[in-house]
Amino acid sequence: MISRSGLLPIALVLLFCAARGAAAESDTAPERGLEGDRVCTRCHDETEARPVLSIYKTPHGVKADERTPGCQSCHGASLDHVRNPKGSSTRPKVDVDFLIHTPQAARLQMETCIGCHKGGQREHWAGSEHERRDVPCTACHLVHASEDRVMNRITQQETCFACHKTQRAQIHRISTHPLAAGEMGCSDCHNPHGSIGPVLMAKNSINETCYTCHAERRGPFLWSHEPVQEDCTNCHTPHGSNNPALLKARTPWLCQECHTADHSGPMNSGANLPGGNATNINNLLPLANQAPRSQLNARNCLSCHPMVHGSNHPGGARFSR
Amino acid sequence: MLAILMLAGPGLCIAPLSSAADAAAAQSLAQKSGCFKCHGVDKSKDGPALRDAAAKYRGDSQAQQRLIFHVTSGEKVKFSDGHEEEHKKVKTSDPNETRNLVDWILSLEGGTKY
Repeated sequence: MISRSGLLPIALVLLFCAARGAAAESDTAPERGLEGDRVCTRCHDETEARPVLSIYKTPHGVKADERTPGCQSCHGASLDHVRNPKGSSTRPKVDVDFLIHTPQAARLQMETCIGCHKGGQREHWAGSEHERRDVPCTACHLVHASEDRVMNRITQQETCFACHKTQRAQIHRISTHPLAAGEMGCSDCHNPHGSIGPVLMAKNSINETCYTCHAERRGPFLWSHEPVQEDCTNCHTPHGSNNPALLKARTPWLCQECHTADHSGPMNSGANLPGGNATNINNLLPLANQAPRSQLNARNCLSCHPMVHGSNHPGGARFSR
Repeated sequence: MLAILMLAGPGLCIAPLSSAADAAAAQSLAQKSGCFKCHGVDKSKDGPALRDAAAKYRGDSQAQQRLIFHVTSGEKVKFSDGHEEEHKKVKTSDPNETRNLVDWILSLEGGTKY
């Protein structure tokens, strides 16, 4: 049984220990201001091969904002690096070194950034393609540079194409989205930080993403073409194609990948075509008296079925009007 | 006499250039080796400014050898707070590159002797 007077010394000891603990914590907590950064900028300045001080021209350098980190907020307190206790010519590495490219280091780098940059565009970062493949934030972002090229939707493509080389080639094909022309960025369609849609789509699905620009294809239609409603990439390849309108293949071959029975089968059969001979614009009959299969040869399905995305015409069941 | 001067002229012009340091290569090596972390060209940091180092060794016939040893041996250096560390070694195995770096440092003018 401890008397009331005996509790007082114990309480004082506990209070002292708590105060010491708090003091120790404040000693190691990184100082976020310029004074705190001085321990790093004493050595790391504008002479570095990579930009260092230009971080003060970025949102990370706005010291008036209390959320702004200091050097040690991201790189860790790195006491061994600062003090070099062994006095060796090769200083120990900082706690969080963004120049180490190993999966373990990538994990630590990601956690450092995501520690502050939660939510918003990065809501689905966990489990996303880039996260699972250990692509750290600094693989794309130049955090210290005054202008981070991936934050500009026109210049970001060179960063993306450094890895996505197939897409880099595709945007130079005959039919493309205007990426090479500098009128679009990869992030117009993709969210590299993660998405609940496929292939890191910016919206919830491929079609929903396409409809943000191509709204006239969305419908609803009186007569809808199911593959269109299902997935635009059933027929189109978004990064570039050597066929018109970003089509995966030329018509009629593209259409006949599904429509094997229409017009009775293969392209050249010609059976079941509407009656009469084909004519040209001068109303001449160059194909007259030839077999129907010749009339269909090299013809475009879209000549007769232009409303292939869907039709609102009462008689548009076959997308001909 | 004129002929002699004409023949010797190009040689006289080229000789100083051939022995001069390649400043760009020297600065590139210095940056790669992290020299500028402690030595500014004009301002002293943890170590003295490179111009001041040049001023200190100006006229010293052993200067080149001493500096080559300084940047390759990892000898102990004393900091302003009293602690000692091994000096960083230049990141090259080519003695000509090291010599070029030292020559460039020694060629810097305008420093004050410390």
